Amino acid sequence: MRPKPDNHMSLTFPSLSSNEAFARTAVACFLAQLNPTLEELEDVKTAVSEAVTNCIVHAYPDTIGSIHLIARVFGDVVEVTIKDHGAGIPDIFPSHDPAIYHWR
Amino acid sequence: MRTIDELMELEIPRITTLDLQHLSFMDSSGIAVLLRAYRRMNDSGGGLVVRNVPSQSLRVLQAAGLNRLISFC
Repeated sequence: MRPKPDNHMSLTFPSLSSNEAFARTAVACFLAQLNPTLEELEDVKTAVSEAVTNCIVHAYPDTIGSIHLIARVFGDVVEVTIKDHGAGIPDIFPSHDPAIYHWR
Repeated sequence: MRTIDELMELEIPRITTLDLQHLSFMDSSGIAVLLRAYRRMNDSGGGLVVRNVPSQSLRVLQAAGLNRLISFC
């Protein structure tokens, strides 16, 4: 059975580019309670930014939709979940191939 | 990127230097900007130098392998 988190927070925001910085800064603020190193903070911000950008660019390419960010703390571990309700990936395996690169 | 493009059109530089000292954050969209600038300079036979790269940006660029393509100082 999954343990209960020691702390958690959730945010919902529209898939606007201006919310990328907000999302990574909000997670960094939440993460501060674990006394991360600067490098750990930067790495989490990078990961959050990429995931949120994915939602903005790929989940809702032609519209504005909702992005849900949930962060949970378990001891000295933080788990961040970023969810959308937009377009999915019909075949997930090619997206794992680094040779297939799509830039916008 | 549009500003970098416009400046390159205007100046037609042999070497383009991008100073990132005031860059607070970089993710994959930043990689795309640098790659595009690199390709543009490479196509015209010129060079690209990127300097004053903050630590977070440097790790992102190294993770993408851009340090093998572009000079960072």
